[in-house]
Amino acid sequence: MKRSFLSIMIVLIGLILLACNGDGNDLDDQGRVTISFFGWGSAEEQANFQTLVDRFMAENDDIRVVYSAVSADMYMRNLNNQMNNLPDVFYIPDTEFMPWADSGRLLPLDSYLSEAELERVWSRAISHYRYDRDSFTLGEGPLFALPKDLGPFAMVMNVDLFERIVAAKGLDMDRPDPSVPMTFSAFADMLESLKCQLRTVGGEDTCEGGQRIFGVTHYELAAAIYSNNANFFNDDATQQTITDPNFIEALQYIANLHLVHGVMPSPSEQANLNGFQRFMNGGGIFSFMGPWDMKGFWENINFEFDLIPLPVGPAEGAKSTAWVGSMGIAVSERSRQREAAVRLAKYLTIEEASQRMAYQLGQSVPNIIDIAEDDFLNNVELNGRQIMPLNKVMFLDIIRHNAHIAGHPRPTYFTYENIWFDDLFEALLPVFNGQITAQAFVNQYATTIQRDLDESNSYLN
Amino acid sequence: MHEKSEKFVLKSFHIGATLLVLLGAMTMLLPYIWMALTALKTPSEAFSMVPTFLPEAPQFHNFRRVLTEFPFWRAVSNTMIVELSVISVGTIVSALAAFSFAKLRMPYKKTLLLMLLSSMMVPYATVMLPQYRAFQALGMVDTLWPIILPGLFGNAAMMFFLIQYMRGIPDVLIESAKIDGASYLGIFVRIIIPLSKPALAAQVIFWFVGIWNDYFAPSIYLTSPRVQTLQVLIASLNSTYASGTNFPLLMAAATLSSIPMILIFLFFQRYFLSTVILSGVKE
Amino acid sequence: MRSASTLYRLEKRWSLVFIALPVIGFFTFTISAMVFSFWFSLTDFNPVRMETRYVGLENFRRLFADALFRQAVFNTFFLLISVPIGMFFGLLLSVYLQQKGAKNYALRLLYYLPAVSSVVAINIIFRYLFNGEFGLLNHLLNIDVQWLGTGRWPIKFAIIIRNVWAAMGVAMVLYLAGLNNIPASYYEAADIDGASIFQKFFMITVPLVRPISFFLIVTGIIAGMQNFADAQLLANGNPQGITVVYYIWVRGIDANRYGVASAASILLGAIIMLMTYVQFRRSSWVEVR
Repeated sequence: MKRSFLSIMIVLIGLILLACNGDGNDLDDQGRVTISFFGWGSAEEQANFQTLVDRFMAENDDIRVVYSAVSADMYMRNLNNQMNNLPDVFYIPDTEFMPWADSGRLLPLDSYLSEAELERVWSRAISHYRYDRDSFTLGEGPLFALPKDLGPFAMVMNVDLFERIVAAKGLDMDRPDPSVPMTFSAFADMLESLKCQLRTVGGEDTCEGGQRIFGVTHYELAAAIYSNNANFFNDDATQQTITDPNFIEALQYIANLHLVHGVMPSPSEQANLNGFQRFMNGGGIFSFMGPWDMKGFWENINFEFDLIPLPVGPAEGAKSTAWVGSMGIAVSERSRQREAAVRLAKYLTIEEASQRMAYQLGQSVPNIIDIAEDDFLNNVELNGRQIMPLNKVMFLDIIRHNAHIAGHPRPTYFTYENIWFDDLFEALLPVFNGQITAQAFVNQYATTIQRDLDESNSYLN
Repeated sequence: MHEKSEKFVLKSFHIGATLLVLLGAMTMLLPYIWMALTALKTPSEAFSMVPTFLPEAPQFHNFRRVLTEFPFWRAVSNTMIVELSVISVGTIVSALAAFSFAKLRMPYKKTLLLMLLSSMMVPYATVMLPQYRAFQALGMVDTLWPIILPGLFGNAAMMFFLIQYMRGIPDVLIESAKIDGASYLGIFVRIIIPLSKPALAAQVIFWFVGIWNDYFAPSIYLTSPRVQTLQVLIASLNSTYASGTNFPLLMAAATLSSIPMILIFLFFQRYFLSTVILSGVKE
Repeated sequence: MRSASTLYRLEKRWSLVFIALPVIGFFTFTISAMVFSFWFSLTDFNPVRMETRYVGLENFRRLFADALFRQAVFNTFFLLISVPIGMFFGLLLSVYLQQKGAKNYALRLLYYLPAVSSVVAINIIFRYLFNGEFGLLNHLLNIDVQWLGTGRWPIKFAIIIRNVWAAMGVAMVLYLAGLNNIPASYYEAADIDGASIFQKFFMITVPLVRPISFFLIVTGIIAGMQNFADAQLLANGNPQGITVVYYIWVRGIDANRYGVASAASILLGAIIMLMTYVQFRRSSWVEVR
């Protein structure tokens, strides 16, 4: 009895130790150095990156890379957990970039990069990850990460649904222009005339008595604010600018899409099914997508989708401006294998193999300008649904800017902490529910958002 | 006449109560049934405007997908590692301490006991952040240690319960064992443990269910699929699949994770429904 | 044979050895953690930053200025009304089931089932049932309530309904035990006096199960004040449904604002400890001999 208990305990403790100890992988077999690379993504994206890492190891036989990844929503917490022993190479989302660059935990990369290497890449993508730790300024100073991608969040339409409704209602309406943006009001008017309760009877579509189709599934706050020549704060994010009339106008425009025009789900309806899923389920004609959604749209939906320019506001100097997200790939300042780690970071961000794979797998727009403007635009190695969206030049225009189209980083990229944005978003709900006008809201919220920004900036001194 | 009508009222009252209780029972069962039925649907059936009760073509492969595409068995074995290690060590530690408090002469007994019981008053949220930082500093985050380690030092609630129970064991037995020259550990192993078996069994079962369903702390510490327990795995599938991509898959995972506890409950039902858990509540 | 005093000394020593591990655990995981919690609340500690500054009571000022915290406090207290409601239904159930005797064992099992079910699975399925467009609840009752929406009350009532649903069974089992201790002669005497069924319920049953009610209400409140999963999984972070513990999690673990989160956790701890103390004092739930 006693002995069997003892042996059970020994087995147990052994099991625990096995389960709890990672494999001690600091070994140097065959003279290779070992570096760790930590990222996020779905199982498919992880498989893609494992392929990329394997290819990198084949080309660099002096380096062994241990790649691991977790789901996106667990990523930052997991990275924080590894603070005392950071991976050699890891993702850093641009919205978290500022505190990380400021903390000195990221290795400055300039000395490892040549002019020629950087010139091939979108200059905005590079300057996105520069940070001056003395003046707390983004876009200047050393380069603390390389861009995994630049991701314009553009407007997408369900082409099939659009045409079915136009036909069912007998409208005389063309598709929105692929390069010239509609105005806020023209867009709202178009959605109103596309209102439809879609039902198919005997192969015929009618717009009565069926499923309610929303004109637009939701609206990106920054997409409306930026497209009306407004912003949340001044250049260094010290002073709020939500009291700017252009800001108020853009805010009211979003609210009115539901309140006045009835073409967008209410905030409560968006809680039932988020806009992205509603679009995937065919419940809305327009929505928003980034390049990282391409793969899902190729594989998980069966309608034709395409990009159109974001509607532009009436304010003077306004351009159709999307927010542009980005993911950085950083090297730990404490890495013992800096040279190898930087080589991997470069391979994943600014070398042809990874950049070709990125667009062919429907993950991102290539960072290398030539590949983006030639291979990507001309659908090299793409076929079937993979050539969608046909108007993919829109992604490039948002990155490059032109007379009508522009892009701008997310507001949370510019601030040390992001709580202010979550709080603003929640505080805005009464505006979107019609309980308060945009004008009245900004009047009462201006001091709160200023206080939130001050708290965020209090770290920077 | 009067008596008759009163009887009639009483009878209809009883019938009404029975109907309500049965309706309530349906309500208790409904979420489970809906979960199992949804697990058999296609994603578009699950999010159709008019909910359909039965799936058109039962998607039994959803269950197989859960078992093969997700680290489901990994999560089960992680959960079991926590269960076995915490319960085996924690129960012995708690029982030993309970024996000591219930039957042995101890200096400052009252103070020490109150001190240990006061840890039940401290909400986890109050100690969560420093514990989290400490485990980070020790490099133990994203291993099972932060979940296992605190449990190895015993469980105040269990200890308290066992103290109450062990006080019912006659002192004569212990005194005579002492006279026979038994050591204190010997008394614990040979007298206390066998006599406390029913109480220990009840506590172990409760603890087992509690650890199986534990979510808050594991969700903080276990972020890699490699170490996730079942509840954390389900919750992380929730954040991926709840918005509609493949809701039935999530429901299949939730169903599978619920079945073992329902079986344990049915098997050990008398421990849950009998009054043994009550001995702590005194009038 | 050893002398009595040697034996006594030996017993004292062994008694302390036997409780050593729980005592060590208590100082490691509770006391030192509380001290550090207090220290965090006075600093701007952020794990990304290399240095930490002492900021005095600034975190408490920020906490009280934070609309989300005030909302979380209100929600936490408001959601507690599920405790008495669940107890009430549990008591009615136990009265009914006791009269039926052991015949309705299956019903007891059914009502108790939520107590052993995973809070994660339950919350996920309830979020789906409460969905304002695709949910079964609105469909069955033919109503149009946006339970998960931005309204002030719907999500709170959804959480309360879920909690009552889950709590009835536990109350039922405890009350059943209490009812078994009430002598049948009390009811027989009342029958002779011609008491109605309601009079018997309120004059005999309710007063005599008071200790159990007290136990249930205090443990219910303490558990309710620590609720996290409802806020995270059922309310999905909806500010109208979040609790103080969710606030501590989202600000501390999620947003790295350890100072503010620790300040909130200290206030929560103080309130719960106070309530538990009242419980310890008022009932003989704990007997220290």
